[in-house]
Amino acid sequence: MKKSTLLWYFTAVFCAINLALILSGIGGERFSLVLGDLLPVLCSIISVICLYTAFRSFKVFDFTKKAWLLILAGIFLYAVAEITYAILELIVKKDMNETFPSLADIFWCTGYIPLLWGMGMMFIGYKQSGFPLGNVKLYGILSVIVLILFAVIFYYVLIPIFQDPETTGLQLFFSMYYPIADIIIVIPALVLMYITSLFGRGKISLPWRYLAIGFFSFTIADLLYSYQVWQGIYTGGSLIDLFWNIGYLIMALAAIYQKQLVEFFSKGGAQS
Amino acid sequence: MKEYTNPLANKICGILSPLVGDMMACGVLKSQAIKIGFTEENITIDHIPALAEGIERGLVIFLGSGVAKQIGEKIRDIK
Repeated sequence: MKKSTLLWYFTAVFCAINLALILSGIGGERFSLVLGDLLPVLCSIISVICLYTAFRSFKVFDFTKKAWLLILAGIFLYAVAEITYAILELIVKKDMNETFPSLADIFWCTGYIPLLWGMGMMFIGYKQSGFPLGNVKLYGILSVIVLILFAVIFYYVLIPIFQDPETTGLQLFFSMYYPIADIIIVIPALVLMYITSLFGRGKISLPWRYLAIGFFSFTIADLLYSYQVWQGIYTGGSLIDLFWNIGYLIMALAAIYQKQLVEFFSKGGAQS
Repeated sequence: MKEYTNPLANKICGILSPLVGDMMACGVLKSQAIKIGFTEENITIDHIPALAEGIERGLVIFLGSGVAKQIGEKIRDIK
């Protein structure tokens, strides 16, 4: 069985079990907390391993390999953040609802930088490739969508956080950082998604398509998380965690497809 | 897949289609042909190296330069 098929089965079963556990609340609050901390650790580690194998599959250390290295670095920092968060909550027994920002937030925030850089490199590489960029009007529509999204986030998340007298200093910085970084990262994700749609069923676009979906999943989770943390209603093991877990697994799939693509053509797939 | 009257264009599209999809294969061929001052239907065997180089450069961002070169070679081998 192909690794991508295996990972698809794993993702489907994982999501079904994860969703059932969240909705049923089996095991009580403590079990939900443990699950909410450990499952993202597992998913992020799977993602890092898959991204590493994709990175290794490129033979030449060129522009493309560098872009994948940056995405690997970003997800690696996310994994470190997940592990740190789990240690702080489960072993050090800190109340993470009261500990914001924590050391884990520093890793998460740092992770955005290589991720954005890597996706930016992919877009620049594509632009320089001479491949068709598609309908220029659609870029205008995409810009409008991003502006609307920005306005909604600005109005419903950023302004209330900024005006909250209880949120100050580092807390304010990190509360604002996540939504802003998410808006910035969703732009290349939208562009990648549009570009991959131009390829139809072409297998070359599969990795980028899944990367874009993974980033979307992260964005949804991050925005909900920022809002709930600010409201003080976030609890580990909630539905938000499922979006993060799906994001990691979808990015792992992107990496597996990339590896399979490179290996297929390295073994003379283009001849067949 | 779009059928060209030029067999060379069909062969290039035949290599690219499984990779980038039918629509993009035609788009890539068209844009690369325009770059060297021709249309898909006017491509001759003399244009193949330039087309292969352009397509190879375009594929690098998806496949890395190693694999893109292999596909470029496959196009260069068209007779």
